[in-house]
Amino acid sequence: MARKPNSSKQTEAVLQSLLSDSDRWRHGYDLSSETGLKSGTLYPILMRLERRGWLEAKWEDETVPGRPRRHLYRLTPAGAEEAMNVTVAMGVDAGAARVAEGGTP
Amino acid sequence: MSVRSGAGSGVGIVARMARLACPKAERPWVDAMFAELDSVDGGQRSDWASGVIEIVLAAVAIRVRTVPAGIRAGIACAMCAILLFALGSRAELELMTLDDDVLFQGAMLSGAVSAGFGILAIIWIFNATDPA
Repeated sequence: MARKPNSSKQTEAVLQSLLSDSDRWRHGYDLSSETGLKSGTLYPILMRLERRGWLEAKWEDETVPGRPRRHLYRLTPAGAEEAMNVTVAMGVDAGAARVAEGGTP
Repeated sequence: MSVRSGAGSGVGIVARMARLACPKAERPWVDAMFAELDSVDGGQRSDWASGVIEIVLAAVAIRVRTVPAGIRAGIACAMCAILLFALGSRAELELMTLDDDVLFQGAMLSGAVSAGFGILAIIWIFNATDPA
């Protein structure tokens, strides 16, 4: 199945992670820990998603003494819809691969 | 913004340098990554920081590749002119009524033009506000 532009495994992992709790604002480090992606891989993906309008970003409202405000991310409604499509497509891909290997989808 | 992370420490200095070296459009992301650094587990901090450097270098590389053709052509022409004037001064063109001083001044002028275009390119690279 043809992949969407930039829909790498890493992007899919980030989308899935964001989609798992799409209403909650997430920190970059949380996403990195959850997806296992390094910062140099994760942030370019976040930048691309934000540019496409799939992701919204903001700085923390309250300041915690001794540490800087953190940047927060969550999917936009459009992003959540696209992420859902990507997740479904991934399921289809995985099913097709299992069928090709002689298993059940 | 949040470049106060580790202010005064090595990380603070690296954060400031990375921010300065980064094109404007990507600076908020570099700030975000350094702000996150305080929450990263000790053992992973160097990995996290090297990710920031990777992103800055990638952003600069993309910008360098997209410098407008006019600026690139200006630099190339001025460099060629320097080369021609330098070669001309070595080829003893006095016989063709061209004085060495004129050639030297021409080379200097071309050097200045080339530097001017170089500065324009640097300004363009670091001030572009559209995302790369």
